[in-house]
Amino acid sequence: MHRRTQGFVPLLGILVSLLLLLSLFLVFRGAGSGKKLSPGERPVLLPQEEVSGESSGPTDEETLTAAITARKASEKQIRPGTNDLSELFFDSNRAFMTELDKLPPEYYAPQSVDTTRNGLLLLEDIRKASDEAEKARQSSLRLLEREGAAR
Amino acid sequence: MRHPVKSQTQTLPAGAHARRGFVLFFVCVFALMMMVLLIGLNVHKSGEILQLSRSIEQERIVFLVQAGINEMLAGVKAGVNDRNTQIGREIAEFWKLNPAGGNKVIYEAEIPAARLPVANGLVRDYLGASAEISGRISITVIDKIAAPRPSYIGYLEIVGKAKSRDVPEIRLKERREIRIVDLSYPFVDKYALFVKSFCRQLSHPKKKIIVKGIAPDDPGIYSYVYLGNRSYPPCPEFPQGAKSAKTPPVLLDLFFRDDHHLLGSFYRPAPFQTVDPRFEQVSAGNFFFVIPPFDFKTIANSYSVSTDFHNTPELVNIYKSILKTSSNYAGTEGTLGYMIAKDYQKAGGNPGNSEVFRSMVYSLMQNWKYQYGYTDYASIAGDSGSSFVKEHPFSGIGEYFVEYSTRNPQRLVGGKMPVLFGEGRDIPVYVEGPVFLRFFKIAFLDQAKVKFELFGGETMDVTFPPVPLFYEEKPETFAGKTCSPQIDERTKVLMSAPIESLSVNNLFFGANVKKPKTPTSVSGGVEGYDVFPAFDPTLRSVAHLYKSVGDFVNERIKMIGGKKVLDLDGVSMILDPAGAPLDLSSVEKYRGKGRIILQRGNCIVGNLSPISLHADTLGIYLMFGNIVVKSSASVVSIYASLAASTNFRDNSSSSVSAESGIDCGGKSVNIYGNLFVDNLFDLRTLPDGGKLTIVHDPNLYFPAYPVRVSIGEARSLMAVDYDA
Repeated sequence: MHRRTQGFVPLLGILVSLLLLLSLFLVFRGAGSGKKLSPGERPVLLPQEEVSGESSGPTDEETLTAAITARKASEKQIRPGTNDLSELFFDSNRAFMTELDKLPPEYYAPQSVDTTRNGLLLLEDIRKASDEAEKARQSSLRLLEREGAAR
Repeated sequence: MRHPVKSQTQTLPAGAHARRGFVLFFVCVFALMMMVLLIGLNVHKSGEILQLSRSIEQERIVFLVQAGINEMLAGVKAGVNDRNTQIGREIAEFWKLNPAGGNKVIYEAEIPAARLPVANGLVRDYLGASAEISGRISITVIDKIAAPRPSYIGYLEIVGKAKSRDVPEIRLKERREIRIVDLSYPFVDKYALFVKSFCRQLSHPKKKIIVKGIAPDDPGIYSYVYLGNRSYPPCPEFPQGAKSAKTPPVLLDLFFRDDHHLLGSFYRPAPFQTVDPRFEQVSAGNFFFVIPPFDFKTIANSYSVSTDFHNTPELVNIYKSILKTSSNYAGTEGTLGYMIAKDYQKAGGNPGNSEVFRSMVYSLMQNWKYQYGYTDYASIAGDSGSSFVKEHPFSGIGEYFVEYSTRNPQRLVGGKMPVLFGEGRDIPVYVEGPVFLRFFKIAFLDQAKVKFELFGGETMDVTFPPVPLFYEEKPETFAGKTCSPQIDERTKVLMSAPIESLSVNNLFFGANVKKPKTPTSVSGGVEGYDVFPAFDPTLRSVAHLYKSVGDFVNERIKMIGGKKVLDLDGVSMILDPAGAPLDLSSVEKYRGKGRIILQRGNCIVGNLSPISLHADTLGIYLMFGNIVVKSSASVVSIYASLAASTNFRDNSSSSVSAESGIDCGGKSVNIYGNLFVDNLFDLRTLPDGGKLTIVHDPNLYFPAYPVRVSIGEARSLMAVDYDA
């Protein structure tokens, strides 16, 4: 009985090792084939999340047309002329109903006109510098051509 | 035969053996030296070859790491503008917090090899399974750019790492500029339409401006429209044009047949109740509000019979006809004619001093019925030359047009007001600028039959025709003088007159004490002409700067699916010194979020829409040029925010020829976004029957995420570490 067990253990060990090797091989092979991209396939983008939502599919022409044509006032909005306009028109003591404060302050603060002016001055400077650089390039090219012709 | 050879060998002399030993020794030494040389050479060469092969291996790995970096860069580019990705979400979170400037790492991620399938696929193909590529991505913000909505600049750093069995770890690092730019400008984005200069054809009867504001549930939020009066032509009424002491108005003519929904209960169309049914018929359909006949005697005490009536031509004419009729009897004492002639002489020819005239007026006042009604410009203008105001009782308003034909011809121009409140006239829009609604009051005194009591108990029944109450710039007759009590809450004077002092905002928002001249929503009283689209004067938020229109077209217009697509990526600025036009008329689609700023030159557009209505946005800002619409279609739809406005040394008095605006190119134009221009050029480029429709994009007014993250095309840094 003891002799029989002695012969079985190495055999079992060899079999287990072979199985282990086989499974490792299969695992690696499977993993390897999973990572390989077929030609034309889009690579997985980083980070690995669904790229949708904001860059969702194209908008069809009907939706685009509807955006322009189908606009209805909300039932909850102010209605025109619901009061007696004949009074409203001519009674200058009535309070004005706009609720401008509903918008955040940034909606009432325009950028200073000087900001645009300063930007324009910078653009003008860039344009002049660009023109000067172009002139310098042209003159150096002409110089090189002349030197080449002299040689 | 063998023996002789053997015997020969055996017979060699002793010196020969010594020579043979030397040769052997020499050969052995030579062989040994060669061996040493060969071994030396071998050792040396194998070192060099090893070095060379390692260098080649390293270079191959560097290339593969570069592939890994490119793969990471592609992923970053695809993800930074998508809030559904981790990187996009973290940038969005950073933007929402609106932090101050200064170095700050806002995103950092280790990228394992498994997430670089393309680069590692190449590694397997070229290097076997002995190496793998991983990496690291980080975004660092270094500064905040002050603007209406702040933007940020920083750098994207990508590190690619290659681990290999054969060579030490190799790292490749590159940096690119990154711009997190907020493309919105709340101040201007709240306007559906902003026009700086006076447009005298705003109420053109055949050319329509239609504005459809946003329509949220919140009654406190609505779109804005600004209609300025810059470049108002100087005239006797406004000698310095827009800079006159009095502010020239922008008048919008109510067209009650279409606009009646705006009037609510004020819309009560009816004909006048006249004695002569013919006038009743003529008035039918021409008035949206009339009052019932009003007894003049109620207000008779407001006027003096001797001073307030003698300048009324109709009354003087009646008096003169009485004089003429009675002149035949003027010489016969005791007759009515004699008495009238005597009275005339006594009055010195002035009807105001005439007893007969005063008696006539007094009698008329007891019998007159005052009537007025409201009509509009289109009804007065009539169709093909025929108008109800040619009928005598309704002709009082004609004096207004006569008066202003010399004082201010702009007031003569009119028609039908723009459709500012949507086609259903039910979307509130707050109108800024010196904008007033205009309609007309037409008043008259109806035909009256009077029994005159003359001297000596004589009586005479006379039927007096209706008296039109003429418009008077300065009160000269009873028609232009204030009456007491008022006829009603609207009427203090009797004459026909334009109603042109009411704010358009009254229609939705009730009466307003203010008559806004400047945009009322501006903090600090900035004039409308000094408002411009947002601009970063440092240009640091500009993602792409182009020296010519051609450069822009080559780089940003791409063929996708066989169609030209405008590929937007943040702020693109074109500095074309020649002012060449940017022709986008062949491009029908755009993708991404972007703003094109053209320093000089026109922008030609045709049908242009986003690939995704909610994700893609386009803004075009022309600093000196016009939006020119060009298309083979009869109706052109542009889904963009369009701005064309020139900044002059003095914006209050610009040269009209240098102003920027929109040229509709003879087409009806739909704009889904908003429109901001210096000038509409009197709608000359809109065809008769054409429409300029502006549908305010709610995503422009209240953008969920108006940010574009742009990554620089050029590397700002690149470094390789071969032994990391």
